Amino acid sequence: MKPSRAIFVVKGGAITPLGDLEALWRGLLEGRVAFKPAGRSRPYVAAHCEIPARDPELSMRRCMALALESTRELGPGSARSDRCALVFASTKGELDQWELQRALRVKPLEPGIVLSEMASELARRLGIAGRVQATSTACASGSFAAIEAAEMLEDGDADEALVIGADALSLFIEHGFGSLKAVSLAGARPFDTTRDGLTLGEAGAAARLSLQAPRGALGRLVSFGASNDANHISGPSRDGLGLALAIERCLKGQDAGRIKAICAHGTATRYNDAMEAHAFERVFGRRIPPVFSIKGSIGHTLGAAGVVELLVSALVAGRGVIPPTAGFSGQAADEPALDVVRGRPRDVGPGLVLSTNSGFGGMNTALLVGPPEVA
Amino acid sequence: MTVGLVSYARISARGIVQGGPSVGASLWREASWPELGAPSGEGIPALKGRYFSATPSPRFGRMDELCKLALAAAELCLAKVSITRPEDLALVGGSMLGCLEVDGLYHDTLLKGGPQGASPALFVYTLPSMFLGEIAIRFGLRGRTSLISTGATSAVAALANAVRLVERGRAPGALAVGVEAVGAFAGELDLHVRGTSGASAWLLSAEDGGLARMGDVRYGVAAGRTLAAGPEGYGLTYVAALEQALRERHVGRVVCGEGMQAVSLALE
Repeated sequence: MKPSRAIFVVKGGAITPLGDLEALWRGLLEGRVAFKPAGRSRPYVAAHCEIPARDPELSMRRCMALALESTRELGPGSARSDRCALVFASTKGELDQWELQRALRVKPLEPGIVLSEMASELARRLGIAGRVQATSTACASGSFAAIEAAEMLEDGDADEALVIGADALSLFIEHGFGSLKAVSLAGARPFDTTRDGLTLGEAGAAARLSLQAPRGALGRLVSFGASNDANHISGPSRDGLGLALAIERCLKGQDAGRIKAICAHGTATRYNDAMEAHAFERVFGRRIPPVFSIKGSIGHTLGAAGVVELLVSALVAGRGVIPPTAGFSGQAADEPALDVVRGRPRDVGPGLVLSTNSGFGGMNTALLVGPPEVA
Repeated sequence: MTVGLVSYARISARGIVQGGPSVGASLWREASWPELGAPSGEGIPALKGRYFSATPSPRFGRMDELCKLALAAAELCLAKVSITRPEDLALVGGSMLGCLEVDGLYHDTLLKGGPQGASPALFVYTLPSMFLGEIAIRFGLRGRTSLISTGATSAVAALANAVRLVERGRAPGALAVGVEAVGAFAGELDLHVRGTSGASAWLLSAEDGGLARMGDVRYGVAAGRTLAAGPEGYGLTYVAALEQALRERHVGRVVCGEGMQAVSLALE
């Protein structure tokens, strides 16, 4: 659905396993991979962030540190503090701190695992006095938070909205995905015929959304859509119907032929990537735009993924270059075979980029992102 | 513009409440747990699907407590109601504690058994939004699905969000569900949660509702009837007071919460 008012992505910031937002962009263009061994007694790889030690109080609070670090590049906003909203996206909040404190038998436990508590603390630390909300829709949390923030602006609840997505790696998550046999031992290879699972990553990402487009704005959130598979609690639908519905809702009234690229969810699990291929075929037929996934470089950053990918999509839209998909060898396994960008960046010129996410519980989102001046 | 409240349900330690034309001319029905076939005792009994539906979900027994509570409230709210365009019905959840209880159960399997002890059956429920997935599967709902967490106002914030979605034409109807599962793990947190497990559901339509009409959602300070905050300290804090206003056929604005984090809506 296209919002009734133009929504701009004024500025973005991130901390990812490849560094800040510009470092991430350069790393993606170079096809870099940030995977390292997960740790002792864990057979798989993971993508960790190097978080600058700015605040000793946060040394044991990686999720909070990631969230705050991601906002450092944003600079001050232009709205009054009570007209600035915060939508915080996460799957687990300060799970890392909770996990550590429980293992150490600390009593009582800090409440940052409760998402609204973490969102409130973030707002206090950032001086935001407007609407504050935590949004959690599994691995589509970050992109859904962008939708919620855009609607807050459209409805006049705020003049600016900060969308922050953050999730930190933890044993809880690593062993959980391991128990589901969803983790690759060698590293995620999105859409590749040899793919065998995802790689877990961690990140913080922040986007400042506004109704105003100052000079140098990063991009525009042109339209968005969401849906539920209503199919399976943890597996993607086999036919891609749910994601196709989200994309169709997003593209209602839009010319799909103008889309230059798709920033796919592309987790590199066998079922997710196949589901996405089916969904794209349902919507675009044989004219599927070029596809890329950043999860072959930085892993699956869970609740942060949607915000990171919104920002990367805005960079692709504005700079007109699609980064290659690290881990993709050129052998696509799925029908229809997708045009997955590989090897080196592809120049397509500035234009619209579709960003998709899906998650447990059948959650699907689709964001259409363009340069600031796009109509 | 306002939207129609078609039906309502609430689950608490005392039993259930249903609202809407489908329950009879009085519009409201209450039943204790023994009246639903559950053993008598304190608090919410071990939930069984048959308490809420003649044809319960075969998945019900496998779910965690949060999903059971939310699905039960949705079953009661949607009983004898025909949903037009279920593929477009929006689903909005509200919860403060989310999946904390199953987080604790799953984490204990790790503490006791290490990586080999990780339970996949528990792990899939360690996301606060999973109850929405279970409701979507049960009723074939393919609309947009989201979970909101705003502390004590979580459930009414979900309702307000759902009202907005219908009011602004973003969805033809919406089901809002507020839910909290409260057990030993909530007590470990420095939060002073005093409420007990419970759930509520509201079905909204752009058409006439039958139970009430509501709209004009506002956030922040607003004049109106301020709903009393109970001592619960969790996301269902304002639900019973809002139900009371509906049963009294209150006309006017009701306000939940304080300051910039307050949410209010007009009832007709």
